[in-house]
Amino acid sequence: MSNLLLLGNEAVAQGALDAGISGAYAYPGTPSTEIMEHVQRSPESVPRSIHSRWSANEKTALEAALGMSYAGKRALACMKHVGLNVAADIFMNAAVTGTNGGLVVAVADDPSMHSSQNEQDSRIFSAFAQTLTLEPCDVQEAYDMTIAAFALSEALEIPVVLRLTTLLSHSRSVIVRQPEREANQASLPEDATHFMLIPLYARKNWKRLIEKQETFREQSEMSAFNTLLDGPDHSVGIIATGVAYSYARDCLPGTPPAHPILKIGQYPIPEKAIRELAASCETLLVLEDGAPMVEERVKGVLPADRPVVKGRLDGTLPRCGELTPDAIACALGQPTEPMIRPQTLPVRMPRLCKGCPHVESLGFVQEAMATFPDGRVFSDIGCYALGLLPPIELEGTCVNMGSSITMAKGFRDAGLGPSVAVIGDSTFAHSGMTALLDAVFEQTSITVVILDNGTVAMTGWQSSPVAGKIDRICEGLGVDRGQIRTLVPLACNHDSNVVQLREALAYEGVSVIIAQRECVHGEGAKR
Amino acid sequence: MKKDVIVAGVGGQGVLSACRLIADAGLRQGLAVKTVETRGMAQRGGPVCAHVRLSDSVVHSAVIPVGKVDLILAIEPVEGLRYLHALRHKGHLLANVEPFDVLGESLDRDQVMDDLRLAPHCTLLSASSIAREAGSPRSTNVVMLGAAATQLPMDICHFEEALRARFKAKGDAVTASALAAFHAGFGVCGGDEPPIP
Repeated sequence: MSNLLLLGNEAVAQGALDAGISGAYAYPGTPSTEIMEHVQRSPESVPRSIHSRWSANEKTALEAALGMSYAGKRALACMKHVGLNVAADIFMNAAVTGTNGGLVVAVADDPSMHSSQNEQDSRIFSAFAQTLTLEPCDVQEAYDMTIAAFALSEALEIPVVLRLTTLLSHSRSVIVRQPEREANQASLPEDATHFMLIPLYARKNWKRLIEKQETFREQSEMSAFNTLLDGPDHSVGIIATGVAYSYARDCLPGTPPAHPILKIGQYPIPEKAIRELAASCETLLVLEDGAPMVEERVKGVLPADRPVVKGRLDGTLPRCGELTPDAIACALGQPTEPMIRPQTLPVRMPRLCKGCPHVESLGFVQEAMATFPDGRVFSDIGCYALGLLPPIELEGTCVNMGSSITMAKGFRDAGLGPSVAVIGDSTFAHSGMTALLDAVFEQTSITVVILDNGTVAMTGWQSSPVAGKIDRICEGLGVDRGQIRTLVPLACNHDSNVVQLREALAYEGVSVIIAQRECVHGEGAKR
Repeated sequence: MKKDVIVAGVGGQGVLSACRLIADAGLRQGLAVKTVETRGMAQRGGPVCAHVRLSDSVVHSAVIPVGKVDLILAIEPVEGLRYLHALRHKGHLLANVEPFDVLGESLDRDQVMDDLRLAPHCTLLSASSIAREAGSPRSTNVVMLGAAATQLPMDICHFEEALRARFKAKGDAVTASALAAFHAGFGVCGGDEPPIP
């Protein structure tokens, strides 16, 4: 096992494999994608028959994972933070049903929004669902915590959230592995009513979830992931979570560190440990990535006047964006180094690749729409969202998976148009089909341009479940056969493509254009 | 001993590959290693950057604080400038002077070169040309790795082993051309060039 350098995400996957999972379920999304990819690549996945195909979206992924848990086997579900929104219904209710086989939900948050729409914090989501959360501070802990998460899930019959952030997901270091556990044999739940959320049983199960909370709090107080590293100077006491703990150790090297550091890796927060630290400190500095979640809760368990609690709420640390070692050093009053500043620093905008079919597709959409100043293009989540930026600069929106079609519908319902949705094939599979059904049901006059490049390109060319079937799916959903046009987005077809889109725009009802050409990286591995 | 390195470039240039090769060589040397990779929309020609921390004692954070970077390895010159502020006061910048696809950017090349020279220690090389001359035009990153090897505490044999492991699956010819590119970069930066085994 020497020289096994793993990404944080790969360590989670390896932890799950070594914890004896029978299946992993996921929809790709940065920064979470490599978890599933590691399961798929692992030599043990095939002989152990571990499920590792991509799901249509995060909701279907988590539902299937709960089904595997119901059968008594261990399952891992992985997604990015906004993916948990898609899976919210099953996530909230899986907390109520509880688990049979261990169920771990690995969620990768993206503070600083490197490739996301917001900075929502999955620890809050997990607390909302009243589940238990583990948050690793480095790659080794990502591995160890994944194994611990499965043990906690089975012992406490609760889905456990493993909260990651971009930086940890994409950190790499050598891990020390634990002995592998056997996968569970199938065994059905002893009390099947746990999984029957009809009101009669739901009330009982809800009460059971509430009663578990005290156990979760006790577990946090004794958790090996919540530890105090004492230091001599108690003018400031530090509470640190996730990678912020590694930054704190960098800023305060040595053993013991200059100030006491309480590391929190298991939630709900360990209230007793926090009160004990607070009793000896004049100020508490809370270091956490994402929302000021611990900071708010720390204030809730301490007296109002002492100690002073500092962090992201009072401006000691920036409220938005990833924490950095530099921001923490600054908060600790450490001197900063003089910086070299170059005279010139051009901004490098991300662009669509050379030869990308989306360039041609967005080109004919833009030209056909040029004569309609009140028309709008509703874009979606995918490479083609770059069409909102220079040099293309479409007038339109990009909000969440699948919203292009339904927002286009609402725009049209408001009496404006023409209304065009632009959506990729895998985004259509993820959340576009029910949206299209809404439009078909009311025969709303919108045109849906489906960019079919045959793969989930933006996250690394994963397989798309609708490949080769989009026209039939649209017809099956009720789009008129004559209003489904398939064309090839190539420069030589530009003029005829503009004409076809104009015809579609003129139609009263739902029209679909399938712009079909493989991603230029299409020969890249499709998984 | 601590050595903190930033590898910078553009999506598609092999920044992450160079980062992993440095990390692998460090591990073969018996050092503690942590890296962090920025990805995001890197596949779309955006900036890519990786931090590599090498130490003979424990490494806590994978992120290198501003002012603590010992070496910037810039596979693309403008991307080297992006991290100049993080360089230590005695730090070293090793930069490829050949910009990557500057379409749409009104780039003042002379200003970029002047800015690169603001680094306390600066080595500029035409790594893309060197890669082409070494018969391996896609190996600009490996040429830069060879240049970096003159500044890093690992023995050359560990870089070579890392390269062999990395390119093993691609066959002997690819491995040989990668080693040639590595030694070309190493030689240009004043490294004593051992014979390629």
